[in-house]
Amino acid sequence: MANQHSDIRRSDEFILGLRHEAPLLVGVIPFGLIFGVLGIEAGLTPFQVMTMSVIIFGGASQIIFLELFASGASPYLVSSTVGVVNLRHALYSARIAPYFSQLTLGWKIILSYLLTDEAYAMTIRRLETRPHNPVIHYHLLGTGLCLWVSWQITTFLGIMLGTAIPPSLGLGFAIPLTFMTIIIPYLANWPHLIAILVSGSIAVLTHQMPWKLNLVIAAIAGMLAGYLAEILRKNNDVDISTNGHSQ
Amino acid sequence: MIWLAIIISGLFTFLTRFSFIGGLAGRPLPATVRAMLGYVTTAVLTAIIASEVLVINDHFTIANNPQIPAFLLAAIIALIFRNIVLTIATGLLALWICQHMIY
Repeated sequence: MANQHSDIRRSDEFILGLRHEAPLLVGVIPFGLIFGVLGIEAGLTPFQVMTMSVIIFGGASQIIFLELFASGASPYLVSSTVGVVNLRHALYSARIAPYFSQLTLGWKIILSYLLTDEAYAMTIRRLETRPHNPVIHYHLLGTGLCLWVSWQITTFLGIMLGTAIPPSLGLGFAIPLTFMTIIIPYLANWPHLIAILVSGSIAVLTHQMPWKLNLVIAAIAGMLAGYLAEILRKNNDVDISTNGHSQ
Repeated sequence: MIWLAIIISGLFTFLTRFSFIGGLAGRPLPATVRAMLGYVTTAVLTAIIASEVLVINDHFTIANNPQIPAFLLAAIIALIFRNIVLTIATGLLALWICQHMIY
């Protein structure tokens, strides 16, 4: 009886995960389509584009892959840049790991594979409203699978679309435009704004470096600048609050 | 070569996601590293945007660069509507118009 009860809760939690993820698909669907189209445009075969979505399963990093690959970067530079871009997932892994410590290795592997920005965001929100949830892994399975299936289907549709669009249309400009839509929400946050300004300027100033190294240098400089801006702002806040106290 | 890149990229990405869940990372990330990682996405994407839009044929190009007005117009549309499809459509169309009619 007790077992049956917990079974019901697991499936409920899974369905809740699917439902929580659904509204985010508005952003994921066009992204997947664009990736599929650009993959064909970059000269990959449909099979390579599809396999990339399955193996890497990380939106922005897959488009960065195409961008670097098309510009003739070596496989090592391409994969290390993808690796750096996806390093932020270590933060998600660290935050959510305590909830999964009792799970089997199989569960841990599947949940890690499904740990994207969007799935993590929704499952963390669920944990915030309900911190003591022994079946939270079913929620991440729901959000993660919802996203995974959508990503694979939209990649496939994008590939179909891409083979129909003539390459002469020059859709490559869609790459910076897509990235811009990701960055826009960060403009209002000033450490991020500093990171953006520093990274953009350095990328241009060092553009003559070989192997697209300017991107790596600019990204590191931008990260440091954003971090320093964050510290400066914190110190300022402390100064203001201590002054306020003494008055 | 491309398969090598896809497989290593996938491996890196999976290991990053598995790092703490699978207990690969022995201890928690230092606060400094955590704070810096928060800026990875913005910094990397901006570097790519800047070198795509402002560098043409290996030259930093401001004058006679139709990508700049097209990009700025798309950015304004993105700020107002927060819509991916509309933003990209505007940018591509604006670039096409600039290339064929103005520059």
